Amino acid sequence: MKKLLLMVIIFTTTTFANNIFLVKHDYNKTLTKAKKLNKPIFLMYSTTTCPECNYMKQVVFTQKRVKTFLKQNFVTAMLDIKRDKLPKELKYIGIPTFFIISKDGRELGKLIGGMSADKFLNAFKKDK
Amino acid sequence: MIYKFIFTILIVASSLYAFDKNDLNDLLKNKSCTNCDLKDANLSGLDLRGSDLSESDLSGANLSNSNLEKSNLYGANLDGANLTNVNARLANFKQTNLSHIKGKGLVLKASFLVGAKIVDANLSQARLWKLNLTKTVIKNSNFKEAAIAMSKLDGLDLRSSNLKNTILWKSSFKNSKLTKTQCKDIMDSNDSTVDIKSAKCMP
Repeated sequence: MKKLLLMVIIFTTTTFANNIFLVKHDYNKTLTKAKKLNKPIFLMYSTTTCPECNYMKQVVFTQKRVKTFLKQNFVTAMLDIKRDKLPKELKYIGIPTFFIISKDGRELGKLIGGMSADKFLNAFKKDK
Repeated sequence: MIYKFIFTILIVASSLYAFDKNDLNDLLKNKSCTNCDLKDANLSGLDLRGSDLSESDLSGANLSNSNLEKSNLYGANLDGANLTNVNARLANFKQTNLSHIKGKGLVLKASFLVGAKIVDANLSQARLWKLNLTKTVIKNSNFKEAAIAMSKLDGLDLRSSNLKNTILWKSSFKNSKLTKTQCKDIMDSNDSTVDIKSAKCMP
């Protein structure tokens, strides 16, 4: 019974975190969406085994104010370092890296590493 | 008179380098320099991945923005060194002196810190993940807005250190000494993954 409950909790948490991303594993589709919706892109470059990435997915991106902010202002997308190629024009030194990209593919800013929801929102509000 | 002047010039010139130039050349050439004198050396922005700097004197050295991933700094002296935005993932800091370091934005992930000394250090906004700090000496250090996550801080006396707005996700403080304010801040953060049940919250 406890195992089942744990599985439900894990599934729910993962689903919430994944829901924040409109497009997964497809950068071209992300660009198309951004042009169509006339919005810049928020792109998370991460992987499933990275602790800081999981912190962001499980703790920060599950917060309503963060989800609302991202959904209102960006086309949200994620690429996995283990299976997806990052476009050449986007440079990174570690994961997680969060890129803000214009709808025509220009990097407008980026953040690196796990951080609190407050810091995340403040930084992106400044960079946007 | 002229000899005195030349002598003075030589003394001044040699004192401009606190470190041993041969040691610095060794490091730059071989990425390895054990038991070296690199005091106050400028090593900023270098790719030193996998380097062996064990037992070296790096006190006051500028390593800002350098890459020390998987490096060996066993027993090194980094007192007062500048480690701003240094990547030291998986590095060995066993018995390393990290006192008085400027470590804003320093990245230590799964690094080895047994016996390391972190006194009067500035580690604000540092990213400390998956660390076992139980046998580390931590005193009077600043972890403001840093992350010390998925780490063991059991048995440490952290009362003199600043943990304001520090991400402590999945970290444990078994039998650690914290101030009442630190305990309150952790509880107010509503992060149920932080284990402070057996921490001693002291005035």
